[in-house]
Amino acid sequence: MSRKAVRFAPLGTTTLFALCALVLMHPETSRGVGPSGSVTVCKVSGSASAPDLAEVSVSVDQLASYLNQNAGSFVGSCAASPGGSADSSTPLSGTATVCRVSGSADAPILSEVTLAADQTALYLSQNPGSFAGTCPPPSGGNATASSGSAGPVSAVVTVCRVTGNADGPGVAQLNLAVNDVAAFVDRNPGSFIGTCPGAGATATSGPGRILGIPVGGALSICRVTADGKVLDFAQVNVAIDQVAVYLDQSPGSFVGLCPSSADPNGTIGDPPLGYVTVCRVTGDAGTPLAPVTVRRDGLRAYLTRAGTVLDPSSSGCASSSRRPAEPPATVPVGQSSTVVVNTTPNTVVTATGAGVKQTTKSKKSGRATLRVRPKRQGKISIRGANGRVVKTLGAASTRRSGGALTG
Amino acid sequence: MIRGQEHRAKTTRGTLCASVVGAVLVAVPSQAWARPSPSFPASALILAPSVTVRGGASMASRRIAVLPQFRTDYRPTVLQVLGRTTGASGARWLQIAVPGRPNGRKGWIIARSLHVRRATRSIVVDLSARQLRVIERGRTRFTTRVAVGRRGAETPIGLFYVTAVFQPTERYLGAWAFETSAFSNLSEWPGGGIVGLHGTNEPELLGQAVSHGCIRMSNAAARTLKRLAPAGTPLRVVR
Repeated sequence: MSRKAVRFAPLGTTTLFALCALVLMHPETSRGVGPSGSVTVCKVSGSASAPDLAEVSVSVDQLASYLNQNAGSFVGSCAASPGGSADSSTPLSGTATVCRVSGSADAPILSEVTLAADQTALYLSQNPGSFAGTCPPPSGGNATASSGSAGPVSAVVTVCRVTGNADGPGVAQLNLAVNDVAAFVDRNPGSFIGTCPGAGATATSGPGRILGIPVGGALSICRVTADGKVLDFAQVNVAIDQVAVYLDQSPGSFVGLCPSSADPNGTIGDPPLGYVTVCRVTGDAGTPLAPVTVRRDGLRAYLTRAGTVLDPSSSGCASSSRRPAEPPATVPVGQSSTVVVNTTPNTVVTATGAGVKQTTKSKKSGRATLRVRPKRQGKISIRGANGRVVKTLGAASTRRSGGALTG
Repeated sequence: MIRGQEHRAKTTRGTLCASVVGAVLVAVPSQAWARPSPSFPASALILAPSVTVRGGASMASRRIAVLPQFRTDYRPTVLQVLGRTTGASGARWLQIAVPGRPNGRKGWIIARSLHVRRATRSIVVDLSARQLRVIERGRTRFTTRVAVGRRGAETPIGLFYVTAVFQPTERYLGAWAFETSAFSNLSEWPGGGIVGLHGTNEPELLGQAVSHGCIRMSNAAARTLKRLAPAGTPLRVVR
């Protein structure tokens, strides 16, 4: 027995070495699977503009789980290409199949696209969740062959719609059928696939999605500038993590589509939210420029009425806090009430109606204070520059017949 | 099980996460994301010269009313907001109680047309107990005895709100009167038969079901209520 064991031992060792050599010489194995049953995985994270690639070794039995949790990652070496093409044998003159991964972590959308081989790296760097190779089948898929996150392709996808500006962003979470997502996102450039931040939203984890916002995502912003009396709108795409800075530096800008002849309010299919600060040329030598905050949906009408508007970032136009429109108010008949309005600096402000006729001049800050004493019921209109109504008040009597009450 | 450059990857990922979370928090003002949900019912004022009330939370829904910013007596039109939703296009809509007959009509107005204010107090009228209470943050702030609608002219039950506060010229309405959104079942009353909360010149009738649907209280109570219940205050009438 012992002699047999002695005789078989060298044979077994030799066989083992031979098998190992065969396995290591096999092209697939030499590229992916390392020693001790581990696989080299290229972990892709970061943003589209700055993808971060890191090679890690993952045990074979943990591979599916790892790839599911790190949807942008793929089996293979990061060095193969910037995008981490798993198939380095693809000829550069040919075409390559890429599985494009989008959607949310809970409901990924997989779609196969065919690209020129020499464009693959660029495409993968611009679409961090994607990988070279065929998509896994909808039900389960072969997790070890690709990214493995084979979610329900026919699933409902959560989309966060973003409108408004930095001070008043509007977010609304929608659930859309997969087939409708692309068209919706095309129509609503501020939107992105994922959950909206805030109460009730599910923070999804994994590469590319933190608090529901895709790291590599961008928001479409309408930049409002003006040269002289010509207003200029420019549609720009800004990385999400730069939106706040961008809007701070360009206060006239807002998230969403720029106005066009077909869509005068600058949005398609949805009322805009928020307020926009623009800078107005007052014509006053002492204070030639003054910031004005207007409702987004009233911007177009304001611009056509109020004359010259400049980018508020222009020198001399102090920034102003964006504020909502004031709610309507009433003042009692026969009593004096103080009314404060904000308008352009050093402008004549008049209050007329309900027996009131009063004039004052706004201060350098643009604030004007009027003391009105309506003689009868009615509406009091307070007008600023160019006769524009800046505020409307109701003048109502505190004493009233109660004839309408049943008693 | 993961080796190699895992530490570098973790560090990079941690830095990335922190920077992105920070950027997101900077990019989005906290009040916008973490805006507290207004408790309903709330009151609202109209920001535009007029607003359209629709049957559903969609611009395609049928128009059921047009409300002016100011009423014919030049007081602002006050609305009661009952809820909110997001329309299919992503627009926010508010559900309101539509003023007018019949009681209990509801409609939808696009949210940007309204200035919503949280109601801190509410009025509860218990018809059985003939009692009016002002509730503030769950606690009874004020209680008074009232007279309610008599048989055949019962005070309607349900959720309403104060639409206007005024000093009445009629003696029978006492010191102060509160117009509400409730309508009496008396259809032929001049002016429409609005249920009011008001004082009285017959305080000896308080505690009885003697009115035409209005809720009467002492003049002292009416003065106190004027201080506690501005226009927009919810009114719940229970049996």
